[in-house]
This record gives sequence, C-alpha cells and structure tokens, in this order.
Amino acid sequence: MRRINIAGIIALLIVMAAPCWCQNGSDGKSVSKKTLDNGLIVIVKPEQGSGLVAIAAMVKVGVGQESIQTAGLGNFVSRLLLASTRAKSAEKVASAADAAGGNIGSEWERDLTSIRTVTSSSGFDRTMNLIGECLAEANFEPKWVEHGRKDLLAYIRSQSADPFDRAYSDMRQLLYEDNGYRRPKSVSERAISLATPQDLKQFFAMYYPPNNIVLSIVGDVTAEHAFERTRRAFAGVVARKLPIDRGVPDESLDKPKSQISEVNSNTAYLLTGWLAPAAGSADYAAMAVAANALGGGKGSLMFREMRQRQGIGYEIGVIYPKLRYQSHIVAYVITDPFKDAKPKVSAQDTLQAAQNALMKLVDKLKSEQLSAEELQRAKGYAIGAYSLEHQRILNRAVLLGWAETIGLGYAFNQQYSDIIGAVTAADVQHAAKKYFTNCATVMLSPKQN
Amino acid sequence: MRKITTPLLIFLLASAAFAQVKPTSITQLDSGLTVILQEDHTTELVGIEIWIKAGIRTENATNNGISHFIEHLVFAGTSKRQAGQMDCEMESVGATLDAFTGADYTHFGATVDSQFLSKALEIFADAINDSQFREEDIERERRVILDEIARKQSNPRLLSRALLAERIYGKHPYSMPLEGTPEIVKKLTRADLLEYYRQHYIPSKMAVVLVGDFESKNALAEIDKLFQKSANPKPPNSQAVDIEPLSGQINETIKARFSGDYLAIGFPGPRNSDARDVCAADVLADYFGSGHRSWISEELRAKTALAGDANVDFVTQRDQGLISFVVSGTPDDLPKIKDAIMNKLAEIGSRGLSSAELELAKRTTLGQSAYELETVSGRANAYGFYFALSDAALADTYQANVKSLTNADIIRTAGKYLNPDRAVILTLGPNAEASK
Repeated sequence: MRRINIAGIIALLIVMAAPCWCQNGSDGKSVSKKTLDNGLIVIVKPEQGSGLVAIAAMVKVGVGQESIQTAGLGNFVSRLLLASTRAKSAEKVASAADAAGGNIGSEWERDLTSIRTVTSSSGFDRTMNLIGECLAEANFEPKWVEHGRKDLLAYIRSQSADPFDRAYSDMRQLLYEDNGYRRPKSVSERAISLATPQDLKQFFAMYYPPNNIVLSIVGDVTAEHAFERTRRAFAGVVARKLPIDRGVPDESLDKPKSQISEVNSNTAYLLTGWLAPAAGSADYAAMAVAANALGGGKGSLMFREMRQRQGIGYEIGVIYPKLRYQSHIVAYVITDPFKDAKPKVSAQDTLQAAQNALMKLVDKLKSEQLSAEELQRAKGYAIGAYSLEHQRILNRAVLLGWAETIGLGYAFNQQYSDIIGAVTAADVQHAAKKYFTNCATVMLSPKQN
Repeated sequence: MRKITTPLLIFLLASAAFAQVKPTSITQLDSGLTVILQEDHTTELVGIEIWIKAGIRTENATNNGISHFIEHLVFAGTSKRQAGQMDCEMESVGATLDAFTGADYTHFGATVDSQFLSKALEIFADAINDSQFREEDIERERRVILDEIARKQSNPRLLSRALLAERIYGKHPYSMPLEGTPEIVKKLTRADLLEYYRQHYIPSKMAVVLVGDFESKNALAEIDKLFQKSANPKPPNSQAVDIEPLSGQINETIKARFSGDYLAIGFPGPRNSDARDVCAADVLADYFGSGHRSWISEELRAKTALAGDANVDFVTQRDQGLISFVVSGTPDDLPKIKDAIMNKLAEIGSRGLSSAELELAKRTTLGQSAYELETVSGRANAYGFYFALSDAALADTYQANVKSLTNADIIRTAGKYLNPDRAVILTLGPNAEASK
C-alpha cells in the first residue's frame, strides 16, 4: 500500500532543522547518565516492554568544526565509519550489522556526526560491540575510500537543485560571514575529490576519541546493563587530547542585505532572515515563541494575514533551527506571482508586496505584546510539535543524545515544555526587538518566458 | 549528511509487539458512519482521522479539482467558528490539522494529547457537519489553490506523475489532476461546492478512525452523538469507467520548467483488491528505488554515474494504481537510463529477482510499513486509507502478504503490469523540445 507522499522539501527542512521538544509518555526522571573512565558519556532511558532498543552514538564534530580547506572531510569520514574496521572487512561489518538485527546508518549534521540504529533487546550486546568497533577502529581502506568518494560525489551532484534549497543556501551566505553553518551540509566537491585515506584517518584520529562521544540508549534495556556493555564495547580505548574548541563567535548584520535572482520555475520565492540565538541562549525560548507566533502553523500571524487575508502564497512558514552556535530565523513565502493575471504586475512587485506584509507583522511583534490567545497558540504549537517528534523510539534516542552533545544537557528535553511555557508576552516582545533588526532578503523570481 | 534510509532502521518494529495495543474494532453505526478504533495506551496521544470517499474518482471533466477545493474549505469556517479559528484552537493544545486529497479519498487528521480528545472531536465534527463555504473563504482558497497548481508545475516528481496519469488512464477520472486545472478552479461556484459536499460528505461514505490513548466505549458513544448528520438515502453512483489498456508504448518529450532534465516512465499497476500483486508492486518499487542498496543506486549511480535523483513509486488506488519511475540525468544520459530500466524490467519479467535481492527488497518494504505504523497517526492513516479504497481490514493483512511473497509473485506481477511494450515514457525538462 502506498499513498502519494507530497511532503515537500519544506516539511523535510523543518524536520531536519528544527526538531521540537517535549517529553513523551514516561517521565524523564528515569534517565541516567554516566561518564566512563575514558571520557565517553552514556545516557540511558529504559522503556520496558517493546523488545526494542534504539542507540544513537554522537560524535561532537559537525560542519561547524571544519575549515574552508577541509570542508567535506567530516561528511566523507561519516560515510566510511561503517565500511570496514581494522579487525573486520567490509563484508564482516555488514554481516555483523545484519546479525545484530539489521540496520544501522550514519548521519553528518551541522553540530554532530552520529551512528544510529534500532535493534532488538537480544541483539543489543552485539550491536554495541559493532558500534564500539566502528567508532574506535574504522580503518579507511583505500578501496572503500574510492567507493565512498564516488558515492558521495554522485550524491552531492544528485542533490536536487530545488529553488528553495538554493534560496536557503544563499540566505545563509548573506547572514554569516565566518561560520560553518554558511556552507551546505554536503559541502565542497573539491575537498572530497582530493582527500587521501591519510587525510581521513587524521580527521578521524582528531575528532573520534571516546571523550568526544555521547552514547544515547533508549528502550527495553536496564541502565546497569547498558553501562556495562558500553564499557566493554569501548574497553581499551583511551581518552585523547582534543583539538582546542574555540567555538564560533556571534556575528551581527551591520546593514540589511538583499539578493535578487531569477529561477527557472513558475513560482517566486521570498526568504527573509535574521541572525538568532543558539539553542542554549537565555533568549532562545522567547525567540522560539516569537518565531512560532510569526510563522509556525496555520494560526500564525503570517498564515492568517498573508495567506488567509491577502491570499499571498501557498507555502508560508518560518525556519528556526536549534543549533549549538548562533542560529537564524528565516521566514519564507512561496507564491505564483502571475495567478491574478494582472498584466502590469511583475514577479518583483508581488515579492515586494509579500516582503512589505511580512515586515508589518515583524514590526507588530516588536511594537505590541501578543494577546493571551496568540501567546498560548504559539507555545502550544511549539510544544506539540516537539512532542510529536518524540513518537518514534529512534528519535527519542537521537533527541536525548543531541541535547547532551551540543552542550544543553540531556535534561533539556524534559524541560522544554516548561521553558517554553514560562515565556511571557513581554519576553517575546523584548526578544523580537533585540533580534528582528537588520535582515537579509533573498528573492527568486521566475524567468519570463 | 548521509542519506540513510530511516525506514530500514525500523525494520525490527515490524515484528515488535506493541504491548499495550488492543485489537482493532470496525463498527458501522446506524447512520451508516464507519468507526474504526484501536486502543493503545503506550503514549498519551491519539491519532484522529476522518476519511471520506470523495476524490478524483468521484469527479468529472467539468468539476475536476472539486474534492481538493472542498478539502481546503472544510476547516475554514462553520456557523460557530470563523476562518482560522479551528486551526488556532487545535494549535493551542499542541495539535496541527492535516488534510490531503487523493485519487479515491479526502482525508483530515491530527494527533492530540488524549486529554484534549473530546475538544478535537468536537472541532472535527463541527467542520464535517457544518462547513459554511462563505464566499470570502472560497475566493481566498481559490487563489491559494492556483498557487498550489503553479508550484506543482516546477516539481519534477509531482508533474511527472500527473502527466503519466493523464496518458495512462485515458477516459478514467484518474487521468485528471488532483487539484484540477486553473480553468476549472477559477469557474467552480459556491453552489457547485455545496452540492458536491452534500452529496459526498455523508455518513455512509465516511470513516472516523481513532488510534491511541482512549476508552473505546466512551469514544464510540461520543462519535455517534457528534456525527449525527442525516443520512443521504441515495449515495451517488460511482462514475468510474474501465481503464483501457494501452495499445503500445507512448514516447513524448515535454518542455518543463525544472532545474534539470528528467525521465518519467509509467505503467498502470494492480488494483487495491489484488492484494498480492499490490505487495509485489511495492516490493519491486523498493527494489528499484529505495535506499543506497537499491538497483538504481547501485547500477545507475555508483557503477555508471548516469542517474541523479530518482524516485520509484507505486501508488495504490481502488482501480488500477500507478507505477512510476522518475529519474534525473543529463539529456545525453536519459536514453541510456531508459534502456537500462527497460532491459531490467524485461529481465525481471522473465526471471524475477535472486533470492537475496527479493529478501532485501521485502525487508525494505516491511521496514517502510513498520515505520509508518510506528506512530498512532500512521496506524489511523492505514486503516482510513483502506476503508476509503475498499475494506479497512486489509490494513492488517499487508505485512503478512509481503512476507509471503515468492519469486513467482514477482515474475507474475512484473509480467502483468511492467511490460516495456506498454509503457508511457516522457522526457521532461528545460532542454526538452516539445514534440510527440
């Protein structure tokens, strides 16, 4: 059975960029954390009865840690983590994965690299061993490096040149001067084409010691058992000195920026963006509510005013990714500028009208406090969306580990609804004034036939 | 970012016991309304879905797009709620309304915290029973739909499927676009919408589905009370006609405003009621296109670097579904991609898959199914979908059918539906010159 899945790129982007928070079902008090002698952090949330265990192993290296020269290496390394190890050939790794109950994959993200899997309770021990071996002993055999290179380059080239992706990438270029988040996640073909197995080994040696890794385990396993198996899986792997993490300083836009270009499409794209606080910032919660009040959901200001009242735009919304370093809020409108068939209206005029309407709403957030209903809706939307993110066992493991990895602490997940719930209308207005200042604008307008 | 196939990771869920799930009950109330309930107290969430048997299949050449138009308006306003109010009420309690129109159905859904179930049910019933179709709401949504249609024109996957369907289904309503054409959408009146709504939004053509944390007895009574709309004694007759088989291969080149060039290949697939063929078609689609171990990934990408992004899909419908391949590549490579796919299809039609290939593909299909069924809304969706096509109980047999597929099923299904001599083949993109 299959239904057409029209969940477009927007939905995907939001899911990838802005996982939301809130605890689900059992209380967060059952979470235990332990730091092993070699510095590895293990977090376990037992959930009895399902017969399943989800494991997310997260390494604190993402796009943000790469320099322009090495951009792409982290992605390359992440793809080869599960290829072969010093002790096991690729075939043996694959069959170990199968024997452990199936399926295991790696992800390269903005703030971390992860190996994630769901296994049966009975396959848990074997899966832990496999993860330990891959994270300690990946060996970057030249044959697999070449295979991975080909695969990764093909993947980068196959990334659809969707106008929205392009506009969002342009937006980050305008917003940031010197921050890894500027770059697309797949990054440079050049670095990937030139990387040698030695380069990959060096990168791996630098960023993959146990003291740079968080293991998050959720499911049908006891905390004691999970700690013990993790200790065994990483036995003999010692802590190493990590590269100095200088962090990424906040930037500011000293003047508004804009970029207008043409796109071969029937629709026009408006993206307006601001630099915004990191997920760990004291201003984060107020700004998250502000972003949701502006464009989160069908009850948001943008949806009601722009889509419902003025009929501008079929797809309207706001992206506010939860990031370790300075993030960004991007409001977007996708519209057919010619639908009214008024001969004198150009795509530019339509986009400009959308931009004006949007800026009025932003000004309203700065000059007035949200009504009690608007505030409640924006908070409910944020909390509800995060709650739904926790429906899947793998996501629960990933979100728990993610919060710990980027420095928020795993408890952030269970605190999220309280953090959002505590935001007042005055907080939202204050944050809006502070962050909705100079903006960057990207417009893509359709080429005339 | 590594593009992992998340569904594969969840394969195990297929066999996992949902410890707190009770058997599903399917009840038809006196009004004719079908109520499908599955209690599951694992989390404090409830997936609520309403499925109505109104889609392209119940449309014609003069009202095409009307099911989708109504989908846009049902939650727009009732006599006690203004436009937007229902969305705000739902979002205030953390739920988001979701709606979709398909070939055979219109569906509305949301996932709510169980403490807000009664409120959500009241909102759903209000919308379904008492939509007002105010002129200002109609005009606003008309513009939004025109935007939606325009946006589809630059989406390779959606446009390709629509163009394939147009050629494959001939006089059957499935040949028409889901959203209708701009010409028809501009012409539909309030009277048209109201007439269609009164004809199709009737209890005998509708199911309410709940999956999650609730008590069945209370929920059933509440639903019975809320959805007390008078039954229409005469439900409309289905206007669907038989689908004429294609007499030969169709080849066309179409200029499209995409950022790259695409090849689209389509075939009419099995009907929903041919359950084993449906499963085999899903498995074949996954064999070709799901994940980094799929045939397209390995043969057309890793080995030969011909294909860019690729999507292979089988959409199950009440009448014959649509099997589609949509693959991007350079204009020079598209003919090579076409030949490779056609040769592979012919090979599968005679020899099927190796047992390792079949096992991997079945596992992928089961993984995707399990992934869909992991959430309460995913399960509510599956029951509602099968209700709208024919029989909700089919949702429970899908995984067993996939597991029991043999190579003989694959050969039969490929031979019956994936005949290269009866394919519709389109080349689309900025570099394509429109020609037949």
